Amino acid sequence: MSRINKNVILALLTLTSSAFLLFQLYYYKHYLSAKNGAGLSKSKGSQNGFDSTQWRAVKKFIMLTSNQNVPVFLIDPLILELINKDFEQVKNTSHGSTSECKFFCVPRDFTAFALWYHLWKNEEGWFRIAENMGFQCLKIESKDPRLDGIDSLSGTEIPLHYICRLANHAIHLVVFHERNGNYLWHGHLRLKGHMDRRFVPFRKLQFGRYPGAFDRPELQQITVDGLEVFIPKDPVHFLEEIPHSRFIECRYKEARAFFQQYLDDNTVEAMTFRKNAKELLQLAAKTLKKLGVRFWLSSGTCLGWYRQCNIIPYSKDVDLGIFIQDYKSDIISAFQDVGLPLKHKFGKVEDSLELSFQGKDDIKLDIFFFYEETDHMWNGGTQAKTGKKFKYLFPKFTLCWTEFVDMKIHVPCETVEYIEANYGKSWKIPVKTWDWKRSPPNVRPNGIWPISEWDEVIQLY
Amino acid sequence: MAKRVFDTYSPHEDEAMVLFLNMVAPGRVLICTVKDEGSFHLKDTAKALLRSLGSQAGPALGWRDTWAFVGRKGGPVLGEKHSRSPALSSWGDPVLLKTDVPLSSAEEAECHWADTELNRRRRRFCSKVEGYGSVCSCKDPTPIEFSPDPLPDNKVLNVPVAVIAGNRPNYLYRMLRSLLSAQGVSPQMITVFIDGYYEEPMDVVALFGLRGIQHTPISIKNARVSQHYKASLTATFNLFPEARFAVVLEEDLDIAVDFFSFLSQSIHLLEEDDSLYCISAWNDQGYEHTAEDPALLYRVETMPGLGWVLRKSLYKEELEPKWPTPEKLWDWDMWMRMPEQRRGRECIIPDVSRSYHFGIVGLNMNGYFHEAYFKKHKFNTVPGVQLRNVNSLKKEAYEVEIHRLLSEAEVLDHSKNPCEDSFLPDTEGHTYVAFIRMEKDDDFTTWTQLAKCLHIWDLDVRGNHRGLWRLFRKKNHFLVVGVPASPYSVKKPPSITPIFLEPPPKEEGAPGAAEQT
Repeated sequence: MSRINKNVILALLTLTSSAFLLFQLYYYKHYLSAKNGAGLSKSKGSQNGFDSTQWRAVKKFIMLTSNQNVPVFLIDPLILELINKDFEQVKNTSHGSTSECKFFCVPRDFTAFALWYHLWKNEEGWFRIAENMGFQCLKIESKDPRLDGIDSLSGTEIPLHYICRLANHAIHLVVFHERNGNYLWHGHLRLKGHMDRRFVPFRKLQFGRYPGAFDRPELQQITVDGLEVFIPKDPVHFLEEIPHSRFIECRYKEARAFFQQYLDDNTVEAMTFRKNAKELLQLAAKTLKKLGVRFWLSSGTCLGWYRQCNIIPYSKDVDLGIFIQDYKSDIISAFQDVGLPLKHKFGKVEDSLELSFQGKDDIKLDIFFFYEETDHMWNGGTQAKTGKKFKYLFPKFTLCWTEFVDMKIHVPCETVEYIEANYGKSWKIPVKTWDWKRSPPNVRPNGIWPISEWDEVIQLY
Repeated sequence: MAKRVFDTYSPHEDEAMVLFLNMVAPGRVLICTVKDEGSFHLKDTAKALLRSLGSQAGPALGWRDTWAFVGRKGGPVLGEKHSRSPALSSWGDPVLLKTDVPLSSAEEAECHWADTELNRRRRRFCSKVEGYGSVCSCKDPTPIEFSPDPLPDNKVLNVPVAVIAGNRPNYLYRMLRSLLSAQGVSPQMITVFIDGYYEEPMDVVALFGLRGIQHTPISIKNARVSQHYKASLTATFNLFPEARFAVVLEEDLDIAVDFFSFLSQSIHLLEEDDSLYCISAWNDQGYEHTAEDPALLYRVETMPGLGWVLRKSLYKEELEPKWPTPEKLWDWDMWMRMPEQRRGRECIIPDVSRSYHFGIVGLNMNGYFHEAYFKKHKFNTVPGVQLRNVNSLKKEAYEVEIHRLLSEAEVLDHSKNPCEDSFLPDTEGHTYVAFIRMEKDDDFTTWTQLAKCLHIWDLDVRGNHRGLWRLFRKKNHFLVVGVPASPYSVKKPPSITPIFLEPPPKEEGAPGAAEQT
């Protein structure tokens, strides 16, 4: 009897101690994260006065950057929204006469600033001084993507982000680099193996989930909560750019591999075509930007970007895509005004609209309008002779920025699916004879235009 | 740390070895060994140095002996093994040397410089490389930061500078020192592009706190150099997208103290005059006896290189798209000089060069070539020179200036031998003109002979502007006009017969055209 009892007691004891251990482990983890979370949101309960940790951290940061001549400007979306709403009031407030902390004391985990890298003269000593002031800083750096496009160049890494923590608040300093095409680029915030993932709540950062591209903003200096900061002159425009700022790099390595296999065409004709196509693309981009119409690289032009980071020399035209809901009736006259007359117009706004403009030296600018369905996108095609309609199906996609022939321009973020829909899985192999009616794997016959409509839906010039 | 190979089988290498060993910091561990044969040109000075290091076998090294040595500079020998070769046709037995090297602590080995950012860079550099002399001296280290005077109204403050480098770190060191001492330099605009993953040039770049980029070498010989240039220029315009120009320098040039001042005063010409191809700091014909006036500029129909400014639009629109591909074994600068690329445009050069080419070792260089064509090149050392009449270098204005010069020039006695010093009178500051025979636009027979006898650049035709050459002789301005090909032939008095110099009859194989660096 006692023997069985001993075993039972032993088993029970083991069980309870394991349970207790597990409970401790679980609670410890929970306790720690709660502590951190609680710590950072301690400010939630503090008053809207100038003793809040956020305001103090920002003040110290501004002191640091102005002393060390670090060119920064405020890009925090939360603060910029508030400033924008109360803009008149902010502009008329002179330094030192604020009674209440209205902007920088708002409860939040981060304040985001941008650093204009090429204006920064004295990089070396900054880190040390920041630490002496009480900041704990983390630096994220990586290879310079501007060197990727050229053979194989490797330099020292460039800084992409700094996160400087002071007490319970953290300043996120996004480093902006200038790139060809007159835009500012910032990098992806990726933590390297040895970095402490609990340093700050990284998931709550507003910038850095992807690399981003922004138009170069003009800045203005204002006084907010007694602190002098630079902000974009047009905060509304900047705020609008943020959700659509995702940037993807051209696949330079794959492009180099492609050219190893299929030698690049260096004939005079190819060079002339590339030059003319680039000029046409730049002109189209300028015109559409002025109209406020979003567009992206489509068909052969997109394939050229994806496969070889350049214009395909034997493609005959420049292809762009526009969402039909972005269509504006003055597109045609705007292109006419810059010297690109309309060559043909197929379809109508309600169905299969397609425009083609004549550029110089026989290059056409083809604009395909994309229609959205519940689970896919499509654009239409028309055969002028027969009135036959075609539909080209694409999986749904979103737009990303990229750099192509010295320009910042849109491409589908989900590029390979887009390319494969249009060119099939063998898109890597150059094909010089492409029949738009039959070659694309995503083409479907879509009926025929009734003859009564032909005057409207088939216009050739 | 350093690794060097001295081919002491061949002459003069032992002198280089002595120079190097003398520059090694005391206390460093030296490991020496012989590969193949090291005694044939190991002369007394070198042997004495080895003896002073404590080596027994070094001074007594014989033909095809094998030898291994571990010692300390200024300290004791730690181990040595030597094996004599038994006969002329064979080598000594292999030697295996095992020895213990007592290490000294960092505090003992390192110098105690003040703890500044500069000295941290210095420490990092000195702990890795040797042979840079007083940079690593404990007591009196050479400064590595230079504060040249700022340049008022500096028009080239934001122009990126690309230094094209290979693996000649001691050259790079000398070049960067002179570059960083030039008035008006912006160190953050400098990028050094290294053709290959060589550590020591990168260390030199880091010592000066500059930006260095390494390039995976592609292709061979001169094609490798041309691919390196292409990658470097494209990268420069990528890194500085707002720049409209780039300054291109090489690692084997001394840079004049007024290099940026010279560019700042002349760069607007490149902006405003489409007939210009480049601005270069180098006058191909500017030797010590043929260049006088640092304030004088010329227009020439060649692209000298050796410190020049490239217009971004020229590169992006014309040159980059058709840059020679990696399999074409062409010199990038010869390619740039071809009429298909130059398209009749000209470069602006100073009479007195603002760069000095000191490189003796290189792909296209050797000691003889350097001695003959580069050593006696005139180099400006006067700071803050105010260039004279810069706007007269624009296309039409230059013609006006040439006509003025030719009208004022005294015609020399064409019966005399133009190669003799007595061809010009013993005056100073006068302007003289001579007319030589030049049947067609590409007839340079007489000019080449004249260049040869004047000991200026004669390997190809440089420095001409529509059949006119300008230089100095005995401190007088000397103009040479090619008749009748040059449009300036109209200035020739009817009584003068243009000089004709016959090339010597071709003997046992004329020398082939040598390439410039």
